[in-house]
Amino acid sequence: MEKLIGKLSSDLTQNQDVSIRQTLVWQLPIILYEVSFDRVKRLKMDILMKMLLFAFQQSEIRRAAVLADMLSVEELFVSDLIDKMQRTGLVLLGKKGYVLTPKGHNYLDKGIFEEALDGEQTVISYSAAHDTYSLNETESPANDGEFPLYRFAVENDGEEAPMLELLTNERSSTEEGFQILVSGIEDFEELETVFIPCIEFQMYDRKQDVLFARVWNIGTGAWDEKLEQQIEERELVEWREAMKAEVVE
Amino acid sequence: MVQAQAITYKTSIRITKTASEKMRGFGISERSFFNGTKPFKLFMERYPTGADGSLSVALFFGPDEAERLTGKEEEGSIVLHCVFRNHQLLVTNVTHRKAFQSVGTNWQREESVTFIDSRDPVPVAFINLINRMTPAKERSDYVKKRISSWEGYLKIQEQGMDIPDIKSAYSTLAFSHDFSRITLTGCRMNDSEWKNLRNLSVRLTGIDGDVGTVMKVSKKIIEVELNTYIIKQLREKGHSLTKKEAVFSNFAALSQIRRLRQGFTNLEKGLAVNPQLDRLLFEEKPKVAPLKQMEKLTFHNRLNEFQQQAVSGAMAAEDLYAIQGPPGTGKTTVISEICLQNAKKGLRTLVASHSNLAVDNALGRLLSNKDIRILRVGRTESIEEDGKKFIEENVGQYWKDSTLKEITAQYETRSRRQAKIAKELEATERAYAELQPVYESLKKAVAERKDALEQKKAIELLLNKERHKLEAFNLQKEQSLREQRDSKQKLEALEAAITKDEAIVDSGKDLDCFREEQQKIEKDIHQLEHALELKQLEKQIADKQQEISVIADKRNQLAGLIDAKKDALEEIEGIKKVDGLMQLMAEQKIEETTAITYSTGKLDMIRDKMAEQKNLEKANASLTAAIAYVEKLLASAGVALDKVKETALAQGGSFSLAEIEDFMEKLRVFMKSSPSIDPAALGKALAGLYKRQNELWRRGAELKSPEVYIEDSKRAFQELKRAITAELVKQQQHYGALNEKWLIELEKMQQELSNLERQATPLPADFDIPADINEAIRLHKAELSKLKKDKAAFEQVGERLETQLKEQLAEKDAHSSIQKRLGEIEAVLEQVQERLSSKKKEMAKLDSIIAADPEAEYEKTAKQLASLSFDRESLTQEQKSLPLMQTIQKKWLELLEGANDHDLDEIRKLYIKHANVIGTTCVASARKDFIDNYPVFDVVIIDEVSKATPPELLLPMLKGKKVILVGDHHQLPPLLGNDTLEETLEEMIKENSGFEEKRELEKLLEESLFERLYKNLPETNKTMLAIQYRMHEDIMETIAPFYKFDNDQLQCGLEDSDRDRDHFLESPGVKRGNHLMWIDLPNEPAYFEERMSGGKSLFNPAELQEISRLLVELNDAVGEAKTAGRIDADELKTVGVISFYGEQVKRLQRMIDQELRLPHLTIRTGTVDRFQGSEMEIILLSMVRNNQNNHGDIGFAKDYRRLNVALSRAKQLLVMIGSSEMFTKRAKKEETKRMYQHVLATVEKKNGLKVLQKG
Repeated sequence: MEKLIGKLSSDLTQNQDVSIRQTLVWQLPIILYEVSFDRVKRLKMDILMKMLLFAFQQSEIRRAAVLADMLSVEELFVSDLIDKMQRTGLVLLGKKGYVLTPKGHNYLDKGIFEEALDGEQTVISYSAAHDTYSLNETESPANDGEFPLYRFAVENDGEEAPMLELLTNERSSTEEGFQILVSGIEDFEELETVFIPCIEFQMYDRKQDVLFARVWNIGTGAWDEKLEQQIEERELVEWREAMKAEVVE
Repeated sequence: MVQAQAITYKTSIRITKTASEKMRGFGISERSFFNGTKPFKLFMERYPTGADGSLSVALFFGPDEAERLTGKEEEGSIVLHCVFRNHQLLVTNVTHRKAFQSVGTNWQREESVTFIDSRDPVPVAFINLINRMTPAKERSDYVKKRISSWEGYLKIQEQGMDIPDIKSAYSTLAFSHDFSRITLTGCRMNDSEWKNLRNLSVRLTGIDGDVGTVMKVSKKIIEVELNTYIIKQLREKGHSLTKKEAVFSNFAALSQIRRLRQGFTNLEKGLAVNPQLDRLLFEEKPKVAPLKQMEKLTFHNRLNEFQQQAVSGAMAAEDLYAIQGPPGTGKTTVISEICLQNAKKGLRTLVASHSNLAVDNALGRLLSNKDIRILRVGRTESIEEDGKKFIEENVGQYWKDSTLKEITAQYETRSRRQAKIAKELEATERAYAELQPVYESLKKAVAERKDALEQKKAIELLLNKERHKLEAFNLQKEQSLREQRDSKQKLEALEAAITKDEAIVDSGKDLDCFREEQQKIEKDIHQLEHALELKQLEKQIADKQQEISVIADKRNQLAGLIDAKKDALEEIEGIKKVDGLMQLMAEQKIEETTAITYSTGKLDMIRDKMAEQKNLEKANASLTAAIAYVEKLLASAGVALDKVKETALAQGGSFSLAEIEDFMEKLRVFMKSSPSIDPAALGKALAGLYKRQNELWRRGAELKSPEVYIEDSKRAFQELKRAITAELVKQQQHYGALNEKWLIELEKMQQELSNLERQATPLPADFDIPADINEAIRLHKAELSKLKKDKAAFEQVGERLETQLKEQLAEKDAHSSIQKRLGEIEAVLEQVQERLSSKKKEMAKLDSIIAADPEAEYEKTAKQLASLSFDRESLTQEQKSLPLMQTIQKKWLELLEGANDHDLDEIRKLYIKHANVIGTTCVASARKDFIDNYPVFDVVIIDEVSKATPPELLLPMLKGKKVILVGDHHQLPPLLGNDTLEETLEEMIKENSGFEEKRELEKLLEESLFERLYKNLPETNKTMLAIQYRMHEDIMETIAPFYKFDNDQLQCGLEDSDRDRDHFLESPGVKRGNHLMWIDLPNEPAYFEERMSGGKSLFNPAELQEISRLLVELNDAVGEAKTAGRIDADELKTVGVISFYGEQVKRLQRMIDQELRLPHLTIRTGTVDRFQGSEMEIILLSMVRNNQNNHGDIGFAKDYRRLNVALSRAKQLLVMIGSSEMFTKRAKKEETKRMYQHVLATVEKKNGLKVLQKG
C-alpha cells in the first residue's frame, strides 16, 4: 500500500506547481449479489419479418401500405421485406392477400419457439456510491475493516432491472443462426459486502490556485472520477477555507 | 448532371492520318464508327476557339461506348479531338483517358450521335449545338478566377502546415486538476519542431486514438488539451504507460485542408451536382431559377408565418434558398420541417454544419416521424450525445424506441377508444334516424319549389309578352296624342292666319293707293337729296372764286416782272462799266453762268496785268535813276562798269518788287549815311542794281503791250454784257410762259365756276328743309321699303287665303280620324292591363313558395346525413377492425419490447439503406467513403452558415441539386481553430509572420458569403425568421437594432413574456420583474481590467468579485423560491457566465469550481464566441474592459455581432457586469458608443440599472 501511495504521489507531483495537501485511505463498500437467471435459445429472426409473418397469418392484407400504417413502420421497409420473403418463398400473394407458405408457417413457428436452457448463477457486484453493477469475475482485493469507511458512502440495495440489463448485455450469445438470451432473473440474494480500499489525495495547484481531489480506486485500478466529483462537490469550499485559515495562522 | 437528350445527331466524320495511326494503336477500327444502328452516347466538350476562329470539340467515348470501338473491355475512355474544317468534322487526334478522370462534368454535354461514312457536310444543327456551348476552359477559368478570392482562408490554415510527424520521448506526463489537459515535459526535438508544435494532434504510445491537441508550448513544456472521449482511457491507463513516447502529427488538419482544396478543384472541373453552382456563388446577383409552382403545403410542425414562408420557399426553390435566423427564431424547426417535407416527397436531404456539435444539435431537434430516417455520419468519437442515436450502430435502437413509443401511444388510445366507439355508433345512428324525416320533408319542399320556379318562368314569359304589348300600345297612344295635339295647334294657327288675312283683304286698300303713296315718298327723297347736294355746291363755288382771285393776283405780279426785265434789257445797252453790270446782275437776280464767270475772270486778269506793267515801269524809273547815279560815282572812281555789269548779269537772281523797293531804300539810307563811299561797296550795290534791273526787264518783256490789254478788256466786257443779256432774255421768256400758263388755268376755273353755278338750281320755295337731312332720307327710305313689302304682302294675302282655307278643311278631317284611333288604342290598353294584373297576382302566389329556399337547408341536411352515414360506416369498420388492430399491435409491442440488437439487425440495414436525412459536418461531407455512399443529394441544408468559411461551405454545396443556407450574419463569423478570424489575423500581424495577403485577409473579414448571398438573392429566394421565442422581450429589445435594416423587424413570439419567461426569483438585487440588468462598475482604477503577466488576454478582478457575489445571491434566491414553492425542489436554474475574454472565463470557472457552492444552479462558463448557439435561463455577462486609456479601446467588445450573441443567450434574465461609462462614453468609435448607449437606455427603461457604489 505504501509503495502504491508513493508511486501515485510521485506521479501526481510531476507538475512542480502541484502539491499534495493530504492523503487519505478509506474503503468503499461493494455489495455482492448471487444472481440466478434463466436463459432461452431461439432462432435468430428479424422482428419486422416475424411481425409480418404473424400479421399475414392473422388477417388478409394485400397492400404493404396497410401494414406499414398498422405497425407505424415506413412502407419502404415493409415492401422491401415482403419482396425478400416472397423471394425466399415464405409468403405468396393469394386472392385476398398475402398468405404464408408451409415454409413460412414452419419458419414462423421456429422463430416463435424458444428452447429454455438450464438456469445459471453468477455474482454481481454493486457499488452504491457509483450506482453501477458489474460482473464480479475476479476476486477483489478486499480488506474489510482495515480502513475507515468512505465518508460519502450510500446505503442502497441493488435492483433487478439493471442486473438483467447487465446480464443481457454480458451473458447473451449467438451460435449458428440461434441466439441465447437471458430471459429473466429468477432470484438474487445479497452475499456480502466487501470493502475496496481507495487512496484519496487532496491536491493544490499553486500556479492556478486550484484545489482538487484525486481518488485511486484499487478495485478498478484507475482514477475514479465519480468519487473525486463527490468529494470535490462537498468539500472543496471547506478545504479552501481551511487553507485560508492556515495562511492567516 | 447532364440533361438527357432525345435528339440523335447524325454527322459525317473525316479522320486525319495521325488520328488514323493513333486509332490503330488503340485497336480502333475506323469501320466501328459506322457499324450498328444504335447511336453513340457521347460527352462533348468544346475547346477554346482556335486562333483562326476554328471551332473544335472533344468527343468522349465512355467505357461502354469505347468498347464498341475497340471490341474489348475498356476501363478508361477514348477521346476524339476534332475540328470543323470545310464544313466537315475532322478528327485530328485520338487519346485515351484514365478511368478516374471525370467524364460527364458540367462543362460537357451528353448527346447521342450517329456517324455516317460520307463526305456530306456536317448538319448545321450539330455545329450550332457545339457553337452554343461555352468552352470548358472558359468555365473553369471563370471558377479559378473567382475562387482565388477564397484562397486566403486556406492560406491561413496552411500556415506552417507542411510538417512531418514529430516523434519524441517525454519524461513526465501530468494531468490538470480536471483531467482536461495534460502537460508533457522532457521532450526532445529541434528548434523548428518546437516552434511548429502548436495545434498539432497528439498521440501517446499505449493509448488508442488521438489524445488531444497541443494548446501551448512554453519553456519546452507542452500543454495538450484532451479530447473528451479519451479521458476515460487516460484515467485508467495514464499512470501506467510503459513506453513514454508521444507523436505529434498534422495529419488530420492537413487532410482537412486537402479536402477543402479538392472542393475548389471539383468546382473548377465542373463536378458540382448543380451545374449552375459556380454562377450562383460568384455572380454578384445570383441568377436563381424561378420558383416551382407548388400546392399549399401541409405542415407537421407548428410554424409561424415566417417559418411557413421559409419552408414553402425552400421547397419551391430550384437551386438556392437562404434563411436568415436571428437568435431563438426556430431555425431548427424550419430545418426539421423541410427535412420532413423532402422525406414525404421521397427526396434525400443532407444536413451539414461547420461543427459536429452543430450537426448533432440540428439532428437532435428534428421531429421524430416514421417518414424521416436520420443517419449521422462521421467519426463516432467526435459525435455528441444528441447525434449518437443516429449513428449506424444505434439507428436500429433509435428506430425501435420511436416505433415503440408510437405504437404504445396508438395502442393505448385505441384501448380507450373501444368503449367509446359503441357509444358513438349508437349516437350516430340515433342522429341519423332523427334526421331522415327532416330530410324527406325538405326534399318535398325542394321539389315543390322547383315546380313553382318552372311555373313562374312560364308566367314571366307571358307577362313579358303582355308588357311588351302594353309598352307598344302606350307608345302608339302617345304618338296619337302627340298627333292630336299637333293637329289642334295647326288648326288654331290656320284659323288665326285666316282671320288676319281676311282683315287685310277687307281693309279697303287697293294697289293704286300703294303706288301714289310710293311716288310721293320717292319725290320727297329726291328733293331731300338735292338739298343735301346744294349745300356742297355752294361751298365749292366759294372755293373756286377764291382760287380764281389768287390766280389773278399771281398774273398781276408776273406782268410787273416781265416789264422789269424789259427795262433791264434796255438799261444794259447803256452800261459801260463792269461794276454797273454786276449791280444789274444783283438786282435782276441773275445767277452766274459759266460764260459770265469766264468773262469776269478774264476781265480781272487783264486788270492785274495792266497794274503790274505800271508798277514795273515805276520801279524801272527809280532803278534807272539810281544806276545812273551810282555809275556816275563809280565811273569817277575809275571802276570798269562794263565788267561789273557783266559779272552781275552772269549771276542773275529773282527779286520781287517789294524787295527791289526795299533794296533801293537801304541803298538810299546807305548813301545818305556815309559821305565817303567805298567804291567796292558801291560796286556791289551797282551789281545789285543791275541784277534787279535785269529782272525788271525780263518780267517787262513777258507782258503784252498796254494797247493789247485795253483791246482785250473791251472784248471781254462785251462778252460779259452779251452773256447777261442772254440771261435776262431767258428770264423774260420764262415769265412769259408762266403768265400764259396761269391764264389757261384761270379760264379753266371760270369754266368750272360757271358749271357749278349752273348746277346750283334753287329748291322750290315751299320745300321745308329739315334739320337733319340724312336722317330724313333714311326714314323716308324705310317707309318706302315697308310700303313695298306691304304691297307685296297684300298681293300674296289673296292667294294665301285660298290655300289656307283648303288646308283647314283637310286638317279638320285628319283631326277627327286621330280622335277615332285614340279611342281604339285606349280600349286595347285596358284589356292588356287587366291581363297583367291577373298574372301578377298569380306570380305573387308562386313567389311566396319560392322565397322559402329549402335548398340550403336541404343540402346541409343531406351533407349531415351523408357524414353521419360515413361516420356510422367508419365506426362500424373501426369496431370491426379494432380487435384485429389491437391484436396485431399488441404482438408488435411484445416483439419490439423484447427485441435485442440481433432482432433489429435487418431493420438497421433497411434504415441505413433508406436513410433520407443524413447529417455530417461540412468537411466530412468530402470524405472519400461519404462521397462513395452518398454522391448526390436532392437537397443540401447547411446550418449555421455564417460560422463556416466559404471553402467549408463549398464542400456540401457541391453535392446538392438544391442548397438551402440557414444562418445569421449578424452573429459571429467563423472560428479558425480556437480563434476568431480577427484574432488570428491580429496574431499574424503581431507575429509579423510575413504573410503577404494581409489585405486579402482583411477583405475576407469584411464580407461573409452568406451575407452577400442573402443580400443579393431575390425576395423569392430568402426569408428572415423574424419571430423569436427565446428571450423575454426586454432582453430582445437590446438586440432589435441589429436587425432593423433587414426587411422585417425582430418580434417577440412569446404570448406573455412576463409569464413565459418568469425566473421566479426575488432577492435584494434581483426582482421578479427584472429581466434585463446592468451592474454598473465605476470607471476607476479599483475596477480596472488587468493583463495577465506575459499573456495577451485580459481579466477584471472587480467583476469576478461582483459575479461571485451575484451567483451566491442567485443561488440563495433559487433556494428561497423552492421553499416558497415557486420552483420545483429538484429543479436547477441554468446559468451561463460568459465574457468577451478567455482569461476572464478561465478565472470565472476556477472561482465557481473552487470557491463557490451553488447547489441550486447549473453553471456553464464560456467565451461569448463559444456560447453562440446556446441558450440559458440566466446569463451573466462579464464585460472586462474598464480603463482610462486615451484611445478608449474596448477590444473584441466593439464588434456588434459579438455583442449581439452575448445579449441574445438569456431566456429569463440577462445581467451585464461592467462599466457603462467605459462602453457608452469612453469607447473610441461613435457607433460603438451608440450601440452600448442603446443597451444602457433599454436597461434603464426596464429599471435594471444598478450602480455599484465605490469602495
